[in-house]
Amino acid sequence: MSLIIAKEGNAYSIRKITGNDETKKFLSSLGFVVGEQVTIISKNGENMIVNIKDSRVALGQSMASRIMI
Amino acid sequence: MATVIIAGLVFGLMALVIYHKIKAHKNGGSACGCGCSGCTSAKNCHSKSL
Amino acid sequence: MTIKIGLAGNPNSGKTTLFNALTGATQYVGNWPGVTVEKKSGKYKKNKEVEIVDLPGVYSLSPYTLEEVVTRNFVIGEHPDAIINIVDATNIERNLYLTTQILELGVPTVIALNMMDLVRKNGDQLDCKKLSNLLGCPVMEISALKEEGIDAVTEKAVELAKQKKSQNFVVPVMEEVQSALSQIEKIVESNKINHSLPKKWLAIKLFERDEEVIKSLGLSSLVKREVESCIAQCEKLLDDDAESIITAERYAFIGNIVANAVKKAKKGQDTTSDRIDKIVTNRILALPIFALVMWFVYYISVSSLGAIVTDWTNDVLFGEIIQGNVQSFMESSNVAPWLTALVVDGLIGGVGAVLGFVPQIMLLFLLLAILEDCGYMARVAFIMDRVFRRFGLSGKSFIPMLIGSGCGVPGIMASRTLENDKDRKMTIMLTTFIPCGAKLPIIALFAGALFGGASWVAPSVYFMCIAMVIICGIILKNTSAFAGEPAPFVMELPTYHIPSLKGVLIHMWDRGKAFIIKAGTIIFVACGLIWFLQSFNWSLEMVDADTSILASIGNVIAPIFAPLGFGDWGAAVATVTGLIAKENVVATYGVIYGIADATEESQDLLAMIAANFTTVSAYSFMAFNMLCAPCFAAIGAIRREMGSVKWTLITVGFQTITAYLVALIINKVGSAVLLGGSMVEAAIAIAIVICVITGVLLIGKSKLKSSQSIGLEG
Repeated sequence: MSLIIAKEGNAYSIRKITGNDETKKFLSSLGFVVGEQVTIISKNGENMIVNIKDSRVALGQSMASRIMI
Repeated sequence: MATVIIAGLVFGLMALVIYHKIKAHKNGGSACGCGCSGCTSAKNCHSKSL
Repeated sequence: MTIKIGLAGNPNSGKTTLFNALTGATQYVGNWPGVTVEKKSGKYKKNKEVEIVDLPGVYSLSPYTLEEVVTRNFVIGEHPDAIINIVDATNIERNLYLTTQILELGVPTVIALNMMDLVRKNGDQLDCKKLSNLLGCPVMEISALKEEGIDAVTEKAVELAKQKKSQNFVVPVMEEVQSALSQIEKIVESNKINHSLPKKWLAIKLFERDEEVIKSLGLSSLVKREVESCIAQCEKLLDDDAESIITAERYAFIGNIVANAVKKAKKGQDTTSDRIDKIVTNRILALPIFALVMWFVYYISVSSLGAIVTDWTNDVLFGEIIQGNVQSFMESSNVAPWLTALVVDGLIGGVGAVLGFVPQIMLLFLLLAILEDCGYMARVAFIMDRVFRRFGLSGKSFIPMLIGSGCGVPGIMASRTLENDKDRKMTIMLTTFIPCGAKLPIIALFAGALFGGASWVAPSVYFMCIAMVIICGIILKNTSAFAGEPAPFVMELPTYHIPSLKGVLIHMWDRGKAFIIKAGTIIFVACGLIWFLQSFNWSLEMVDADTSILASIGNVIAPIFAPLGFGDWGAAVATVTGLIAKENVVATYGVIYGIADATEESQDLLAMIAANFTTVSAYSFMAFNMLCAPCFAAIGAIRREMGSVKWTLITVGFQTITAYLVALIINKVGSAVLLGGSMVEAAIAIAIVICVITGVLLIGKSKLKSSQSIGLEG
């Protein structure tokens, strides 16, 4: 399932990041790679703030929907 | 007499300012009047593009 | 012999803080991406032979974003003698991703572990020696903020530079990958490809199909095909694409290092920042909290604290003390009356009027600096993204506007961080709607004169401007020029921290100083000119303002503004002088009404303004001046960033027409509702605005349809 349906507070393991473009590369340089743990800190509508590799990243909905957990 | 002195002062100051501003403008100087470092560094007065 | 040292690292890792500490510079340290978009250099305070270059924050050295390319080109092209790689120890895993890429470039590197104090506070442990062994380069602790360890790390970098020992670092990779890389290396060698890049780095880049590198080498198609077959083979074997393979290898390597050298304390608890974020970005509370914060900022700086000080400055300091004394001095020294008038009424009246607002400006800048420094502003971009996305912009577009609330020029330039060209253009067009520091005196003046300094005025103007950004944004998005999906939103949020008092005060003082200098120079000259124009008529005789050159010019323009409620020559002239600098609007009024008759009859500036406006026309005047074309400096910045005169004219025209329509509505409808004005005129005004908007949308949409049918991409 995609990250947008995930619940706040739980840690999920990333299974896949869809697409194969620059955005995916950028996400990977931030730490979003297969196997990495991601936790949702807060959700604001379709946007969310997540914890990845000890850092705090804000994701818009279109981004979050590409992260499969 | 005092008129001349004060007039000289005032107009001298103005001329100085105008001269300064034109020179700064030619060198691509601070267009905004904001101090360079004060502004968020996204402002590049010394616009050296990539 | 100068030694060049580059500072590289993730955004928010402390590069610019370190740069400032080492060079004594006062470059701005922002809390959002894109603050440093170009490299900046300065001399090391303790050794002028050492040049330090602050590079933009990057997460990796791919060829995709401007910042990455700048950083990469610096290291490859300008051959620094050493690099200090600043690593934020609180999220070391992510930071090391960049480190591996920097080390591969071969330049002698020292790793500066920043924010170790936070690491210790969390209870984590980091073994620098182990890290150093595993990475093959020196690793030293620093605290850029507290300026600890910074000299040691710089000296180490200098030492490495002098030794000229290049790094020989490679990320250990799987067999399959290694064989592909070796093959590529051989291809490069056997084809005698000319380059000065580290061999292994080149192989990796070619493996990753790095566009920039391929371009710069000018490889023949034969070579490209050979390389491609190596890559394809490996990709098939590992069932993954080349870049992802390398990325995975890097993270695997880093994972190992971290497991070895880092001991984490209890994990899984929300940090303080997380807890704050939960409230501040909560879907229901976020916008109200933001509204409250901005209301508070404008309330404190304009209405309560600010107003008190400004009142004193304007009335007492400038009015009685300075103007009064200078006047008596000049009269008693038998200075010619015209010169006395020029100095007292013109210069002191005008410049004084502007300087009178310095306390409020300083307060505003102070509060904004606090907001920026603590990290809240980054959250605002995230919060606004939800709103902005409704009308097709990314929340990142809000950042230039936030910057613009200080000064429009850096705000406009901050739009460079928006990759999407349409987003960028639209952001530039809308940024100057937000009141900049120079527009503040206008609000403050009218709030004081017509609204008794009521606390709702300034925030309401600010929110009106934001509303206009949104409304115009929606309208623009519906035209062909700007239609299309906005860039997706991704942004790292820095940890909240209490802003350093020193940093915030430096900020405030920098911008405040610039404001004062501007008053003493541009406005000084402008006032002199205005005074001259309003004291003489065309035959160069001294006259009353109403029959002066200025009035005659003003009277030609004034009728345009009549429907807006301020069709007198004074308002017209004041508005036009605002093109030179927005403070001039106040300054011009200061000159025109700068009557310094030191008698009991003398009316001060506020009273004169009050006599010439109604509450409705005052608000309309403010609205017009907030939204219309910005000052020349900003227009210049728009031209530079838009890159074309056509778009600059479109922007300025768009802004001025919008300003006109808004002021029209405020005046006509406001008068009808509040002052018993004509309902008919109000209706006509509304009708006109509706027509214009509809017209724009229709034309815009038709162009959209035609371009869509040709299949043009957005």
